[in-house]
Amino acid sequence: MAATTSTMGTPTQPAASQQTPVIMLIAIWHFLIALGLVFGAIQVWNLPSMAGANATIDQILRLGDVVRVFIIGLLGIGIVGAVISGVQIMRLNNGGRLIGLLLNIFLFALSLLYFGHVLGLYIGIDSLATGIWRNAIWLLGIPIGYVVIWLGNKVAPSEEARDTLQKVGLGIMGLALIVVLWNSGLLQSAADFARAFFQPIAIITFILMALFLLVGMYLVRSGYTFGETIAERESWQGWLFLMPNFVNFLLFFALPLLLSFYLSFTNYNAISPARWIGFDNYSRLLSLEIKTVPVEQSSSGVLTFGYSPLTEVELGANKLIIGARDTFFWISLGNTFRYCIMLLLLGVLPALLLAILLNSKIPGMQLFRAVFFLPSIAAVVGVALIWQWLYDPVIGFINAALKFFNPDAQVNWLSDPNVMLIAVVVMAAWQVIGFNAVIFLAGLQAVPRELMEAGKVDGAGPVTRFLRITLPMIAPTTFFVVVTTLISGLQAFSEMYVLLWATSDNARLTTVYYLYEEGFERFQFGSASATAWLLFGVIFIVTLIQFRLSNRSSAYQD
Amino acid sequence: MATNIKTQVNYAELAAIRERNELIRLWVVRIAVYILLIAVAFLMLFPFLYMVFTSLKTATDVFHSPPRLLPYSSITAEYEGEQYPLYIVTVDGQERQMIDTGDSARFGFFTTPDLINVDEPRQSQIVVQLPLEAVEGVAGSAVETGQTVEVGGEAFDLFDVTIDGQTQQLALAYRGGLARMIDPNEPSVVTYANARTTPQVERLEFQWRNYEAVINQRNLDRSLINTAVVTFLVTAGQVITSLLGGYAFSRMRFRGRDAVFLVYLGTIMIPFVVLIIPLYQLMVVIGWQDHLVALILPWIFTAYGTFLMRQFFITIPKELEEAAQLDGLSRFGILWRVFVPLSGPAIATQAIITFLYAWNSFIWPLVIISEGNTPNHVVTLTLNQLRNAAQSEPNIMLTGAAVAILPPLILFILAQRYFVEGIANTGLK
Repeated sequence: MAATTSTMGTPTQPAASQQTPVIMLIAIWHFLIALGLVFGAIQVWNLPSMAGANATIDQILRLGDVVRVFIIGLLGIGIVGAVISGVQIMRLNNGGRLIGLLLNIFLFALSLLYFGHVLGLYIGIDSLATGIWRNAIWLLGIPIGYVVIWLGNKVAPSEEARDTLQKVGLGIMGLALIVVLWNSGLLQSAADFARAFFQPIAIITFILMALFLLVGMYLVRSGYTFGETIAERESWQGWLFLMPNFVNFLLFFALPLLLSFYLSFTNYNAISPARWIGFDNYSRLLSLEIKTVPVEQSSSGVLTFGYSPLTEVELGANKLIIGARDTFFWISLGNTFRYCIMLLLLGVLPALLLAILLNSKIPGMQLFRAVFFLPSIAAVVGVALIWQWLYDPVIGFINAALKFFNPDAQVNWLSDPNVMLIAVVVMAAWQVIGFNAVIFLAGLQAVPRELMEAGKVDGAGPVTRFLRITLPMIAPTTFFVVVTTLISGLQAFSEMYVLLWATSDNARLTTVYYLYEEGFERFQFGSASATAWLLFGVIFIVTLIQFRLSNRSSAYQD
Repeated sequence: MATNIKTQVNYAELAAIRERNELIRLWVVRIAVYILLIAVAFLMLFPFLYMVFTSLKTATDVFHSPPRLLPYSSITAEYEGEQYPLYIVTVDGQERQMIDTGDSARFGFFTTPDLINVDEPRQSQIVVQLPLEAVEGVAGSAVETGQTVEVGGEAFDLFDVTIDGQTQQLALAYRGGLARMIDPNEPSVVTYANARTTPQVERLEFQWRNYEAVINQRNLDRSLINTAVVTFLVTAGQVITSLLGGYAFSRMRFRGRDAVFLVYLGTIMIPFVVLIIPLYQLMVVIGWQDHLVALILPWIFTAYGTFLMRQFFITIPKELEEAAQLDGLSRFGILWRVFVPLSGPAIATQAIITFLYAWNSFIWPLVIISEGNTPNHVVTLTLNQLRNAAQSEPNIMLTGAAVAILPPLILFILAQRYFVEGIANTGLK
């Protein structure tokens, strides 16, 4: 960012264009970048000949040729950009300068990331954490410093005393941090980084990084030479501001997203190279077969080879046998839908009622709101540990409460396939009700008072007012709550994973659970990716419906 | 005339009555609302109370049935240089606190044949219990007669039972061992009782040591530090990239801005599970799998946070920015000196949401940090391991849960406003 700050203040004027040797050098630099990228592309093309050289290369090769071609394509974009900007910079065209500027800064960001990697900076976070752990006692300085500042704000007799206390508090915090970091072997790691710096690859990366930065800086400052307008300047400034965000987006979102899409069309299993199999994953997951046979006939052998019975429905004298090629997927889908419906019933309606109670403008409302909100901030894993013991058949409070009404009650909440999903839903609803109630409350408070009073004057009772005024007015909020709850329900995993660990019954399978087992227990990455995209399809449709409905309903608000 | 006055009085009375009724109605409604709210609040808090109190229990107290909330521990008494748990036993009509020294004797449980419960002999109503061997301190004796009595198809031995000098023939319902209890203050007083059903002398006591044990011995100290480092870096990174990106989207005009923004908006809808497999592959390719950085760097980008920041920035008046520009502030200076100080609440909201997300995240650490790599575990992973390892120790398990839940809870108490209002606002947009 240093580059951007230094020049932003200077006004620009139309330039008296003139080619200088420096500009020639810059243009040549861009051709060199293009050449380097071409070399890189050739290397990627020849990657199969380097199989076994290191783990990274093998991993990329295993992902299949498509990935290699894709990388070459990305490099190709870079080559084209570098060539265009080189030519245009020679012709003193500002558009070319812009491309060159962004290309250099982008490559600088990438090489900076890579330089950190080569130095072992990222892996070093592990030892940093270890060091902090060894010196954790010093971290006490941070709460102590906080208490000093807090005291300063609360009880200090004068302004000066408050400021002094604030400084002392900050000083204690800073000192504690410095001591922790110092004791954590910062010097030692600095020495390690210095040693890592003298590897050839690190030095090359460093030189490249410096050159990208130098050229980028020069281009940033050369607006005058290229006759840059204010709008054009804002253009690259905007991109520079966006760069940290955008680099991360490309590396850790866009790239994985494309990879996921590609993998869903392969049979990739982490061991043998990925092979393109078209829609096979999808068709295997989605294939259903329905056969009708007389009731008395045995169900076995009716379905085509490869299909297993999913469920049977009796229709008079016949029965329908529904079979699927991947029964677990369909079971997980069914469980997920059942889970979502129950979660909507238990997590949305009570939340609305709670919000109405909270909206009755009574003293202490904020305290209640805070208490109701509490469950939603706790980690699902921790919460599941609590509920696991609440659900315990012998020492759990839930069965104890049931015994109060019915002495014979004895429910094995977490091992009985008929009730385990309900048990999970109750826990999830407990977590989400307060959260939803807060959102509903905000919606209720946004309903104009005049509207309610007008209703009152017209003689509408409280129930009528609620049904005819409040409910339509909060419709967008309701849609929002329903959809967020639904989307979180569709992705339910941790709850089942922690709460239903003791059972291997299919009732515990949700779609994400199925995906997890398919991907990380059976290592069927291709099929797991296809599952993820199918789930995304469902979520997409749900969101689309919400957009449609809430657009229609918000007509009430206009 | 008279009727007129009467109606006037009636009106005044009516108004008073109506006012009073209105007030009563208001209070009745209020009290009803309070009762409902308190009931719901209790339901919401109960699991947390259960967690805290169970985390303070002893290893035996947790299995007390029926369950009870508060932690009790048994009181011990010294006898001949050793500590023994105290029981409440009634001897000769006098309630005493006695200890179980570990000795026991075999007892017979006698009753009349008609009182025997054939299906569950141990459920039979017992007339007297007497030792089947010679023991001190018990009056009465039982002598086997050699005869049996048949009840419901089963044979029960008959005994000559002598109590207070009177002999009577009774059937032996079942045999069982009873613990020898003595009064530590009066060792001559001896009795026999079932230690499992005899109430213990207990005292309300909080086992704070559980926390020490969990933190030091179950890897929780390590994972707390790891989680703190990860959460801090992710939160700081997200806030910084969102500030920069939000500023660019809201205040700068550049080619491709709207296209990129649309793409960002689209990504909000994409669930993380779509990314989990390719991201795992990417981490393997880079060599970050099993390292903390895999929990940090991929999470620095947030389309949602960038969007929220942009939404906040467009509400800041343009004049402020123009004034700053006239003062010669650079773009970055404007963001840092003008926008950041004005967006305290927005930054706080985003930081809090990110903090919670990073602190509580489970599925990604579960996938990317292997089970055996405990030095790099985060809190949720340690809890998951605790769940496996401490299956017979609910107190230890819930102590772990309490430690993991506490930091977000403290943050919530300190910054409640930003939490609740930040969340509430997301629903309105």
